[in-house]
Amino acid sequence: MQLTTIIALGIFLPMLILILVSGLKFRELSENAAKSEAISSAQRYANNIQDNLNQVFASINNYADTYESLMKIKDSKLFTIEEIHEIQKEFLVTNEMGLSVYVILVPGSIIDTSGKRLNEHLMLLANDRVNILLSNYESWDYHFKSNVEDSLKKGDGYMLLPPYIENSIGGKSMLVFSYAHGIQSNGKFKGLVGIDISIGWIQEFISKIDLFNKKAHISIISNTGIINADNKNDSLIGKNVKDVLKSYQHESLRLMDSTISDVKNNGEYIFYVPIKFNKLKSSWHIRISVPEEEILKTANKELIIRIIIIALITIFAIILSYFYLNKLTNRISKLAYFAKLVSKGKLNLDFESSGKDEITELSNSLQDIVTRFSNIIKSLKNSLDQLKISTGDLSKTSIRLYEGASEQASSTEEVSASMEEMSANIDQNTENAKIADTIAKKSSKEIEISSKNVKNTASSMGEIAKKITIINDIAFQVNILALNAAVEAARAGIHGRGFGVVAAEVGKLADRSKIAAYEIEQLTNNSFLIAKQSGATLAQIVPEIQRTAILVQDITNASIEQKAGTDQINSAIQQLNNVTQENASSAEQLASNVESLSMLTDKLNKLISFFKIEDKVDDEVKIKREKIIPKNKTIIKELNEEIAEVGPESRLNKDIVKAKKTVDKGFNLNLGDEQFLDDGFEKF
Amino acid sequence: MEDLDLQRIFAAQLSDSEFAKLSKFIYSQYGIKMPPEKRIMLQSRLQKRLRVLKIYSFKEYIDYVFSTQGNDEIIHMMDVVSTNKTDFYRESSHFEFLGQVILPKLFEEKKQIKIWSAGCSSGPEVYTLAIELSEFAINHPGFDYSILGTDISTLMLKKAFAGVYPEEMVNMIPLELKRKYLLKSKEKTKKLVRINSNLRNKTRFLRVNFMDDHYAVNEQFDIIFCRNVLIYFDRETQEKVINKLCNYLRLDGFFFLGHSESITNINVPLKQLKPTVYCKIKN
Repeated sequence: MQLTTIIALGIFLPMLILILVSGLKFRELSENAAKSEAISSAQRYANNIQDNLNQVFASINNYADTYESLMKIKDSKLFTIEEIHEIQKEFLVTNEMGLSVYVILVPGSIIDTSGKRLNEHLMLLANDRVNILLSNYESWDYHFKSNVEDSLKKGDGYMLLPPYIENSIGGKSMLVFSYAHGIQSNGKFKGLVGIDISIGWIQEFISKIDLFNKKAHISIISNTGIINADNKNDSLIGKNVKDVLKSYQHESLRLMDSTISDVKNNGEYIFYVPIKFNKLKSSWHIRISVPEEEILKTANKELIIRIIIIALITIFAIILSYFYLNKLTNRISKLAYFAKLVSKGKLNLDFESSGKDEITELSNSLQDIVTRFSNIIKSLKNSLDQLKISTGDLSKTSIRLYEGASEQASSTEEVSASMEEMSANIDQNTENAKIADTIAKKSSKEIEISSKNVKNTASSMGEIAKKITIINDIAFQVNILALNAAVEAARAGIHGRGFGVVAAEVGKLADRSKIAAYEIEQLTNNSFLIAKQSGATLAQIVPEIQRTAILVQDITNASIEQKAGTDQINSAIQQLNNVTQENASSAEQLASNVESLSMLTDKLNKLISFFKIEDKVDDEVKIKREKIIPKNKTIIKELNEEIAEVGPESRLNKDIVKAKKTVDKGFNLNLGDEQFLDDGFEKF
Repeated sequence: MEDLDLQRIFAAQLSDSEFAKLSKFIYSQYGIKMPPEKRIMLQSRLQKRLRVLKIYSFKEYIDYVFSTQGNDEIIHMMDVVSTNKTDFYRESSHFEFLGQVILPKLFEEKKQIKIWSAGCSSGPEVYTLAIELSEFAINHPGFDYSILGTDISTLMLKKAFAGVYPEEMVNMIPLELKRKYLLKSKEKTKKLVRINSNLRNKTRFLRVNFMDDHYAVNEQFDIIFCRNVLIYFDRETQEKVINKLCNYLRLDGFFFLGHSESITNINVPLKQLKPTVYCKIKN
């Protein structure tokens, strides 16, 4: 909803409510006011009437006092009629209201000029305003005396007589009422002084009253219920109120009461206000009855006037506020628009900032916020871009580190395994060297023995050679013997032929023996030489063999040392291996953390990119960033793919699963689909 | 995965008893010796699996591995447990000896030779051999070859099959040979190379567990490279494995071991030609 509307409504609605509430309240108030007005008017009238009458009554009281004091002074002297007339005339002049003044004296109170007592009975003397003696020496019926006396006593010496028709004055009949005051002398009733007052003036007075547009019905009611005056209906005058006013039943109590009251009856408000007279116990009442609509008419009229006034004020206020609000809301709307832009991330804004009011202050504060925010975002953006670049580098580095560490871990593991193998081989060598050592030692001993044997053989050969000379000699002798035998056989002739053959054979044998002996000699000599040589050689070999044995011993020792060294190296490599493996793991962790960092940075960047600061540096960075991101992503993607390849969902895995079932026979990996097409590659 | 979970995995510790359980299993099934010193190594390597499976303790992991559902996990576990150190032209003297002595000798007898790279890891040995043999073929018309690579790690086999490597890994290969046999990534930033299809077509790859009674290999090879594999086995296992491998090596065929390996005191039908190079003899 528009601010203007809200504010206009904000003014109008409370006003309306105020008007209605106050109108209703005011209606009640003005009803009360009308009532108050009626009452106060009535009071005023009552006061007026009672003031006037009290004055008259007071003078009557004075008059009575005058008589009393005259009676004291005169003592036994009595009033003459003339004297009384003079007094009354004088009194009438001062009391315009009085129609006539009368005095009633007990018999024997008046004398004539000759001093003769005039009144044998109660005597009424009255004269009117025009100085006409109304009742000359008229005697009053004495039986009144007790009545009047009682009335006066009851009223503490005062008496107010209800209105009655008086015909005696001026020949006209008129409604009059009478006030009387008793005269006492020495505690005895001596008579009374009274005044007849025309009600006409009261009638006239209330007739002139303009109350509630003359709609008010005003009556003056005497204490006995006789209507003394009525502004609406003359004919009611002199009648008893209970005979003529329907509402009497409800009002009867009011007459007894000397307090102000109002009742609402039959669509009219009836007010009773007492008219009190000095020294009189009973009082008159002024009764005002006003139709309800008259009372309300005023209230309604007031209400309408108020509504109109408030409406005019409201309209005026709305018009005024509309112009002001329009101006105000325009500025607020502008601010709201700016704020909306800010909420959409636009930070390159210039707020208007003229004037000194709160809106300007708000505008300035907003500008301040936006500027600061913009600066923060700018530096945040720059930092993020830096972070992005760093993360990119970090990502590459960490991946390289990870790959390197993995590679290193593999290498170290292989070196470790190789070292173990080597160590095992050295062990084997040591064992072998030990065996060789034993063999060498044994050989050395054996060769020593052999050497001795060869020496023996050589000497044996010498012996043999010597012995063979004997054979040679024997052969020579056998040959000579054979020759001799041959000669002897020839001599024997035929008989010796056989012998001759034998001799020849023997000769041959001897020759052969000789040859053989020669050969043996030759061989023996040779063998002797060889044996001698062998002996020498063996004698030479022995120390060499012994040296060999020592060398083998050295090798064995060296191998043992080598083994110890290798073991140390091996354990060092094993430690290195452990560290390397952990490094590889850490590097992997690092790479994945960097990946998270990179993603976080991307996310932050995305969040930050919501704000538009728009400057050239930003764009440059943006271009830079765009160049970096895909590279990064590729690396991460590749790393992920590599990891994913191991995952249970990879295609290769299914082949392996199938293959696994036939593992005893081995299996062909289904690597049929070439993942990497040569398209992505070119010649070197 | 949330960072916190990652932290939990990285903080997971492999207890001695858990290690013992795993090491016993790995030794008995795959022959790889796992003395207590290797606890940290095993822990570090298995954390990768914990991460993939989103398992937060080794106890859980072990329960999973040895459960029926976790049967497949054993293969992945071995992928990370096996050590996969390899390089192009590693221990280059072997390749010199191969090119200068063995190949010429074999070429006199036959034109088509078969090589087995047992424990090929991610394949550099296979492709180094392929390069060397291709080079030999240039000067010896009619010469042809095929190479089989096997490994326990499927992950490594997959890499070997793809034949894609980071550029720095092929630094050992002379530029001339790189030009002949390698491709480089069109994206300069990637710094990847790939073995060209000619070489790749000469190769096959298989998963073989040396501990299995029979290998899925039904042929006789002229040369077996089994370098830096036996170091992970103890003597007893080494003897068994070499004997089994020798079943697939023809008489007078050549057997290459790693620089630290030897057959001393091992009863195998091999005769040493020079250190770490052997020739198959009759039993």
